[in-house]
Amino acid sequence: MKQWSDLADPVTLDPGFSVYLTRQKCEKLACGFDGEGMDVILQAPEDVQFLSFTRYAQAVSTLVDLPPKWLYTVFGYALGQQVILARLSIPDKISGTREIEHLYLPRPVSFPW
Amino acid sequence: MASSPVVEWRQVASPNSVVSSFPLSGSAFSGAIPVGTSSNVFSLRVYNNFAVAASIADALSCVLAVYDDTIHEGQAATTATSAKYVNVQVTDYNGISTGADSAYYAIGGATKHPLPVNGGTLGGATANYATVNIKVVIPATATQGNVSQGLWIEYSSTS
Repeated sequence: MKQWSDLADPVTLDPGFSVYLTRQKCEKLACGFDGEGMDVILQAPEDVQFLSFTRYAQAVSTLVDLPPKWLYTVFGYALGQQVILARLSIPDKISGTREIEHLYLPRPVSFPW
Repeated sequence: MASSPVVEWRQVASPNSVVSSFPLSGSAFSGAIPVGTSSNVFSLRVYNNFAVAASIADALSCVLAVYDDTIHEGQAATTATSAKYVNVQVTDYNGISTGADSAYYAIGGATKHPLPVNGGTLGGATANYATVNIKVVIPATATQGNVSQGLWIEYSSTS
């Protein structure tokens, strides 16, 4: 899978383009791309803790080269450590709005050595 | 509009009960895994729509990942995670081995393992599963310890 940091060659997105990602039932993240296609601003609702972010996080990579139907991992930084913010699939047309869910199912794996 | 995927970890053996944790052990005292050796292999199935409910979405781009715990997605601060002690192998999709792994893959943190079968999709139209083998390989240089990590399956769906 192509990682965010692997991307190059910025493209321009339509102003106001947005993708909404829903994290398993209770967590929601609004992901807005600016009209220049340069930055990704990820804003979590105030009442939701999202990967230890209390409110805002900003992805550090530029938004680039987004062929349709590709799935990306969006990284951000929290407390100086790179973390995964969301996995984001790009709709067929890079404009408009689409509902996307990022889901997961963790289970403990334990072992002594 | 289809409902979200219903993904579950379940036992291989009928009646395929839900698995809530994956204890792994070795041959040493109290089940400790001697350094430089592997644990037992824990096999299970990752199902989507085990109950065969109507209108369940596909789980797309399924990826196996290990992080420090079951809460912090992406966190890999502990040695067991960053040094990728956990190994996984996907052996089939609905019992068919097309595209399956022929070897184990060590995962932890950013090193993950996409489901190689069925294009990474767990279909939601009916009960579909991928079988996963899990084991731990302890490096010969490891110092004694124990850990509880999080084994995650990450996926997406669209509507």
